[in-house]
Amino acid sequence: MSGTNLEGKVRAEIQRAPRQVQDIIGYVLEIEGQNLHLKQPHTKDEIVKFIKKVVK
Amino acid sequence: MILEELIIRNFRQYYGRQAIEFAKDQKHNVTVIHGENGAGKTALLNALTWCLYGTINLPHPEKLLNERTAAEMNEGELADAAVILRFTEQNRSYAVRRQQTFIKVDGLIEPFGETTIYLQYTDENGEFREAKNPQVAIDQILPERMRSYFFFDGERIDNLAKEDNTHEIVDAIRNVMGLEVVERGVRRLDAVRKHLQSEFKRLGDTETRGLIEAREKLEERIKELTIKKEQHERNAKAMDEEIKSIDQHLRSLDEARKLQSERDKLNRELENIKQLYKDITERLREHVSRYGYRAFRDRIAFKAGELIEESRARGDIPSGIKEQFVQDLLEEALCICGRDLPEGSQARRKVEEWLRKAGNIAFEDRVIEAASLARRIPEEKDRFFQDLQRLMRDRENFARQKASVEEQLDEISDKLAGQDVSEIANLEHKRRSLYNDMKREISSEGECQALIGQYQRSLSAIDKEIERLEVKQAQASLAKRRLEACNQALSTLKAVYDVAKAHVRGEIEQRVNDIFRDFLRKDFYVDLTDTYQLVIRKGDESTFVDAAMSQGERQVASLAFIGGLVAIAKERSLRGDGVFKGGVYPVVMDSPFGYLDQQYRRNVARGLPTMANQVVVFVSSSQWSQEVAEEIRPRIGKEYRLKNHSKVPEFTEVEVATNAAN
Repeated sequence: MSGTNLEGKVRAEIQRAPRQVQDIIGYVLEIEGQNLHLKQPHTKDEIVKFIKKVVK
Repeated sequence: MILEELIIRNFRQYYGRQAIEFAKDQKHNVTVIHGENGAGKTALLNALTWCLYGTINLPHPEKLLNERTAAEMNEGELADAAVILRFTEQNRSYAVRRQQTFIKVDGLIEPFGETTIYLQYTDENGEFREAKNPQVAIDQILPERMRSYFFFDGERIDNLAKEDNTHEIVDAIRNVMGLEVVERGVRRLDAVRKHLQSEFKRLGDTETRGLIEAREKLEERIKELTIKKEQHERNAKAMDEEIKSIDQHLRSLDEARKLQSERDKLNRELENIKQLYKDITERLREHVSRYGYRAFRDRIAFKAGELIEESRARGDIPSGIKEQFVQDLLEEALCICGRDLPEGSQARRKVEEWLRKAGNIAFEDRVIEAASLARRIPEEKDRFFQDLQRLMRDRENFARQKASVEEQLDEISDKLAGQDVSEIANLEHKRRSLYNDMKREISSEGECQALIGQYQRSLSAIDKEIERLEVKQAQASLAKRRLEACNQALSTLKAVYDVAKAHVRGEIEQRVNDIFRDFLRKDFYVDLTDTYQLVIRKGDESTFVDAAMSQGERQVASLAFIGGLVAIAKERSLRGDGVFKGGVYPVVMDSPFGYLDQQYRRNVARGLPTMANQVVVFVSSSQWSQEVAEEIRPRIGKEYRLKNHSKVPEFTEVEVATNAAN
């Protein structure tokens, strides 16, 4: 039921992007989810590193 | 999170060990704690929040140790103030204990060491373990930023439905529904984008550097303007609040009441007209952007008609002989005159020549269609202008109505300003001055917004130019691709945030209304506006009016909002997938019936047990009225009474209420 519930709508929006952009978004959401509860949160440098790894 | 038991030892009013078990049964899910003012209801709520987060919202927060315990201590003796909360979460049992040790020195009670916190839980094998980072673990179960939606003072909860507290609603939606993760992601990616942009600038050529510098300047300007715009917005809002409070004052004065009531009516009318004016302006814009080209096609239509007629005159169309017909003759190798058409014969060559003259059916159909379209162009042009004129007439009509209502409002203002009662005249003069200032603030806000829009368009143009840049040097080319990937991720994540926010708003609005209609009369409904304001409206959705909210109604709207959040968070947690995880949360309320009249009390009391899996309410005897007791009693699982001993120093004990179904 893609597009009718929230998860479906969000997935549809993300799937419109190219594969490597989807990977970046997935990574950002994962670390920001963890950051909500971490004393020493992940930094932007980790995302920069990730982007450099996937875009070569 | 299911609350199991709260144990308090020597904490604030509570002397010795006091324990409360919470109701968990599905049918009897309400725990009621009775207590008169000062008996320790609010301290109990604070015991929960102190235990979980170490925060206290009471006078003298440093005085944690019970006074009677303190009085009984000998010089140099130690005593603990402690709170233990047992709860379960996703089939795991937890016990969190926070305590502070005190010592008596020279007759004074002083903290002895730091506050300590322990969190024990049963693992998958049923064995007890201790969490290394108790605060982090607790925050994962019920984050502190969300506690105020689940543990709250009922008398202050009406704040959520106040106009200037829309940020609290947005925060609540963001926190409970998990939108915060996406929002943080957007912020973080924006910082990453800046980082990658500066790398590209460093590696790029002169043109690249120039474009990025221009972009950076625009970004800076947009940032400054956004700050200014927000300030104007806040100023206007504050002035609007002040005007509302003057209106309220005027309503309370006998000599001004009638005029103020007329003004209220006219203001509502004005709001409706403004909305209609806005809608029709939008329709006008759409009409011109969709059909505006029809006004400029005369020349094309004329030229097309001329060309078609010339072709007809020359006999090019219709051609008289069709391509398909000639193809069929050649395929069958037989002419219509009966002669054979073998390959290489002269007769066949003659027929093949017809192919060049024969008309293509599809092409001719298109020419005929084009001719018909060209004939319709003048009609469509006329219709476009007729519709345009009608829309403009309607808009002028609304503008006249608006001017007329504004004139009537000015007259009312003149009458109030000219009143003999100086209090009224002064209030009205102040109101006028505020109104003019507010208009200036709104206009400045609009100017800022227009400039921001203009700069953002320039920013997009620069981005397109950067995209078009041909970067030959390998390192710079890689930096450009990385920046582009980040830009795409950022715009996708922003789109995700907008989609999610709009979806969640709609979902919450529906839930809140389901609950709100149970609480309040049927002809009212809650609207969660585009700007996240909780507004109570009367009538149906096409002919609504804003209903002025009393404190009690605001309280009901806010309770319904929290109920809606709890319900959606629970559903999400049961689905258990995606970014928007939700959770199962109890609702703990201190004095939820504070400002409610008899009817609302009954309705709220009936609805409360359905708000969450577990509901805990603290009530005084004046709030535990007959109608509240009648509605809640069938759902009570546990019931306690806070017994206050007035013997100095005072202390409180928790007793199981005699009529409770324990």
